[in-house]
Amino acid sequence: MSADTFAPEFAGPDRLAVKFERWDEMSDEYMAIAARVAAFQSLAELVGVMPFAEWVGRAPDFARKQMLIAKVQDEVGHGHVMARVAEDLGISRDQILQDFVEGRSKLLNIFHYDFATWEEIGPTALLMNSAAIVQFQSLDQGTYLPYARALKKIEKEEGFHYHHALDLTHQILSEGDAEQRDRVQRAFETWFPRLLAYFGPPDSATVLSNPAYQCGIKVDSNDDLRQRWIAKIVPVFQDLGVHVDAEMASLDEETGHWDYIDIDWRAIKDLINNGGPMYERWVSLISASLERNEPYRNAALAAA
Amino acid sequence: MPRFQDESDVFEVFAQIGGSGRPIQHVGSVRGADPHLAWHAAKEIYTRREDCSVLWVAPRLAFLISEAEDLSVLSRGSSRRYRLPKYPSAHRRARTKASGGGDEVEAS
Repeated sequence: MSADTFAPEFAGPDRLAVKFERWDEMSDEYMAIAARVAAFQSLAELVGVMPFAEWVGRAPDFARKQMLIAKVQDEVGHGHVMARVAEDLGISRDQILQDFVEGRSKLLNIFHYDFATWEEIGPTALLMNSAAIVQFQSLDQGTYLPYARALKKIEKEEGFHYHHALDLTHQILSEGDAEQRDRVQRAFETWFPRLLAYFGPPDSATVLSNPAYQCGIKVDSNDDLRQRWIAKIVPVFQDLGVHVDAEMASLDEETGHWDYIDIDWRAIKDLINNGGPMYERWVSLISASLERNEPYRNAALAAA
Repeated sequence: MPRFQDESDVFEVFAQIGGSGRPIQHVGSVRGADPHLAWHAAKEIYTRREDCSVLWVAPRLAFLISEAEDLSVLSRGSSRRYRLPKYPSAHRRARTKASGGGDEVEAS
């Protein structure tokens, strides 16, 4: 889709001025973009929580297990909330899941992995939650109001997850042994570049041609959000005692701009297109779950 | 409003969060095969992180909803000055002024 398929009021500096409710008149293009964004996020919530769900049975103490279960429930709830936004615009939740299990959906780069150790979870969740909060606080200023409202509910719960991740990381760094602290450090070094890539390609390549940006569903540019996130999260890790190498991220005091490690965009693209280490596993888990639950769904529908 | 699906299993959800006395507000929607299942879905999705004191669900199709063309009727409350609380005060001041002023009774 190119820029000129949009009415002039959607382009340029006024792209955020006109907001839409579900019942307002919208162009088909606009509706399709809003539906796609919500469906994409619904799937991201459902698949994104799977590496965490895998650790529920292995959490080292009861309180952590409770907090982890609460997080998993929240994320699945977010999947439902976003699916409702998508459904009202024409993409059903059945289709969202079917598209995924039949290989037609792409996942964000960060959802192609799992956690090798318990110590990896805290710092990674901290990176993920802070990135999600920065991104959602931007997206909730967008033009499709049902999506914006859904995001505000989700942000509140991401805040809980952020604090859980902070506490978990802090506990390991203050009470753990040298090996455990080293795992936190290595998790940061592995995941920080992945989260940099999560915000998407640099602006020069995409921002003007992105229809979601043009119609104000996407509010800020990838680079703006990336900068905002680095500025927020790097000091948090430094305060926790994690070493942030200058090559990884460093603030240019003069410009106020953060320099960060090079991202291999070709490798990211390959990962997203061909599937990372856990892609097949998440597909098979969701596929098995749909199959297992089918009799219950049918029974509920038959009884209604 | 375009309807992309059979909406007979869509339920709108209303909740009172933060204690009795708070407004009961629309929080979103769920799908459910019947109202009880919809209510349970709403409980799981919308009330787990805060204390909820009232939770209602109602089928979306049961709502009579305003359309864009109703806007002119719905939004003109403030264009009728006599319906606004400051109107009688202005009315009284005008009357006092017309009668020479001076003996205006202060509103208590």
